[in-house]
Amino acid sequence: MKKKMDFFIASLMIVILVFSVTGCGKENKVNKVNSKGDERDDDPIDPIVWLTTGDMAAKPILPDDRIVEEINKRFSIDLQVQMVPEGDVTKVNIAMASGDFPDIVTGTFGSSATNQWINDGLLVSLNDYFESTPNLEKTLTEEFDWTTADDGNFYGYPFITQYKSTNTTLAFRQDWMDKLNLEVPKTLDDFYNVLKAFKEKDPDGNGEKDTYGITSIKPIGDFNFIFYAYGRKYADYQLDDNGDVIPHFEHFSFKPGMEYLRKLYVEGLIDPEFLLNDRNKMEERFYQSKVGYITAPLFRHVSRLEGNLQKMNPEGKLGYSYPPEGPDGNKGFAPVGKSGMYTAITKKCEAPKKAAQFIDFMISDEGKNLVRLGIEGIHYTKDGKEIIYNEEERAKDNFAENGWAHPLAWGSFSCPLESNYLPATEKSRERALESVEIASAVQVPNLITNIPMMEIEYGKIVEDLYNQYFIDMLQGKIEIDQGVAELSEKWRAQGGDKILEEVQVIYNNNK
Amino acid sequence: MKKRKNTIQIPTGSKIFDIFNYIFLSIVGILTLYPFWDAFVVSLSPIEEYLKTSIHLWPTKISIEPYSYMLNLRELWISYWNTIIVTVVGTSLNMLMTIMTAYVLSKKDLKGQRIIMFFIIFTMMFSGGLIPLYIVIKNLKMMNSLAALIIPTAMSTYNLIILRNFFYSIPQSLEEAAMIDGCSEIGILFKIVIPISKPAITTITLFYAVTNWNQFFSAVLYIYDKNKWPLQLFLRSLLFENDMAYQAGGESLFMLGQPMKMAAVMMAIIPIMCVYPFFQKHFTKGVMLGAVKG
Repeated sequence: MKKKMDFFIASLMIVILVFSVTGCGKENKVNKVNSKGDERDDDPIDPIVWLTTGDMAAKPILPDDRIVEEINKRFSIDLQVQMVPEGDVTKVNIAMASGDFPDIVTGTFGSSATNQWINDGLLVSLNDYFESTPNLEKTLTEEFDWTTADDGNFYGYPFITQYKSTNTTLAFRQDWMDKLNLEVPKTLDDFYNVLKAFKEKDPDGNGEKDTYGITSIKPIGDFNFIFYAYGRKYADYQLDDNGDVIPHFEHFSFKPGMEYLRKLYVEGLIDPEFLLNDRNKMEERFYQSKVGYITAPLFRHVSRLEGNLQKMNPEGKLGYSYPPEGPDGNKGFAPVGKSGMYTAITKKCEAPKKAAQFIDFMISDEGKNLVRLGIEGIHYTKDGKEIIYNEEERAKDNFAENGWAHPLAWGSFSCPLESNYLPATEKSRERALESVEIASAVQVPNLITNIPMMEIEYGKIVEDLYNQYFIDMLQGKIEIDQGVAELSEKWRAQGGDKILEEVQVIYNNNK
Repeated sequence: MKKRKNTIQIPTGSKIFDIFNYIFLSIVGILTLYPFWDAFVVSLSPIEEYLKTSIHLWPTKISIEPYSYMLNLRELWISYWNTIIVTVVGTSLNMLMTIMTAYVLSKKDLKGQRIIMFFIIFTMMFSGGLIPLYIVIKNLKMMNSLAALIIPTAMSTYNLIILRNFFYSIPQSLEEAAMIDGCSEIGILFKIVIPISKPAITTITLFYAVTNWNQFFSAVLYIYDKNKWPLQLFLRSLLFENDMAYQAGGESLFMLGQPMKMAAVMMAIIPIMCVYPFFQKHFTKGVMLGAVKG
């Protein structure tokens, strides 16, 4: 009897153990959609696995997604999208490093890992398929002709964020301006006067001088627009009179800019807490009527910022404007983007032509409409020019609410801002688009289009150095002349010289 | 009067020291508790109340909207379910493996015991590294399945050592007595050893459960389907801005108000916190684990 019991318990444990190993070991395929109704029988269906960081906030793609089905039908493929959580490229890099190649891969543009893929010959040259991919050819050769590899071929489609447009500029309390009878400042002097009025004339009407002019975001705030006003030309590196590449703090625009900022700081026009602000905190101070100006991304945030502001102050109104001009009429705010995503086809892909056509489709107008609007007659209908969204059908394919897009729409090939896309249903649509127009008009170009390798290596160290000196000079812990001299010496010694050297070479070659 | 006689006079220095201790520890306690309290208060506030001040000591107005929003969010429930599976299945497997291994290795007459132990401890000192691990998971066909979050961490060497040492300290005579009374080997494990090792076992269960509940990095690596995200991944996507998506106007849960995020945080920590009181009494004994024998 006892032995039987023993045997029973022992076998039970074995069963549990085996079950727990195998039971969970099933691999579940995602987004496997068989294309049905494919008419061309001679064209076999090729599975295409696409590993991407994608749009981290999008909903998952459902198994019988009609958008994926439509794409499958078009190219006789069986598209399987694998989205890495958290937009974390680490996983993409590990997958590639371990030999687990997808057919199409999206990684970071211009990172050392992506460059390694090209150098190791893991990617397929897209030039070979240009005949059947007109959009791809046009975009690569006309817009990104600087993204060729050493052998002169294109190995992937770059999606550079904030490349042609941006949405970051100065946002302010329009209701305060109106109350104090102020005009939107045009010059640095006007700007100073407005900040001063915000500080001293009690714009929130609580009888106390407890407001500040402007706040920003850690670590050192977004105050470069002052330097651009004083004549700084490029967002990344500057040229001196001899045509040599120098860091921006050695440029003639730096000292007057720093003196101006120092004046604002000493007079209490800059909120000293900006050093601790994350984006949330910065916005809170704006809603709480503690500051009049913030440096913020707008576009879709126009309605959100104003909505939150009005919850606290029913009279609140959001304004946005060009940054102030310097003595010579210069102005600028957000830099042109340099980094982004890079989508390429791997050598493992058995149907590279179809994969290239798929990428071509995704960047074409037709493809963009498919992932934004859906299929006409199902996800939306047209009434003249007006688009009527069928939210019920859209929800079935996990489109985002309120006329927003399909999970495949953003992140790999474009973002709403880059494509200036806002659904017709968006609140404050006109103002959102206007804010982008303003911000993009004062976007600041770079001296060189790519990120040099030395900057990838030493960039963080020299940036920390700069940040530390910037704060010390702003707060008056060190005189500006002395600060610049010391910073210059240390910056160059700790890797800056190597960066400059490389930038100089790239700049000379491009000239 | 009598009572007074018997009391031992506490020196003033010692009293001052005690008072200082109480004050100091209370402050530390409050500092530890405040973030939690703050999150709790914020999660109960409507957004305009939240925005009014930066310090939230008490909810001025109570709104259940953040919770009702979160409760209606499908993604939250999916990730909740995944985490529950990982925690329950994972912890059961963890305990099964750890108890059986530890018991066998605690047998003094087991041949080659030192060598087996050496190999197990070796894995604690030197690991294969990220990419080899990834390849193993991939070749075992566990990519994108919850098994990848359960099987590779089925046994923790550290916990194994603790439990083995506890079993080691159980007198041999107990088992011999059971044997004489006719108990089988497996019977001894289940009827004698496990019941008297309750403090150790509950403590280790707690260690495992919390680790499983908090699984994050392996999910980033091995899971790519949103329907298989554990809770921590979902939470992170909610709490940390992805600057690119946010700035460029992409969909972002980050754009939700702080109260909703805090409601999600509360919902994620409360269940695992509720486990603690049940384990508390064993836990105090459990702290002594492994301190006795090595």
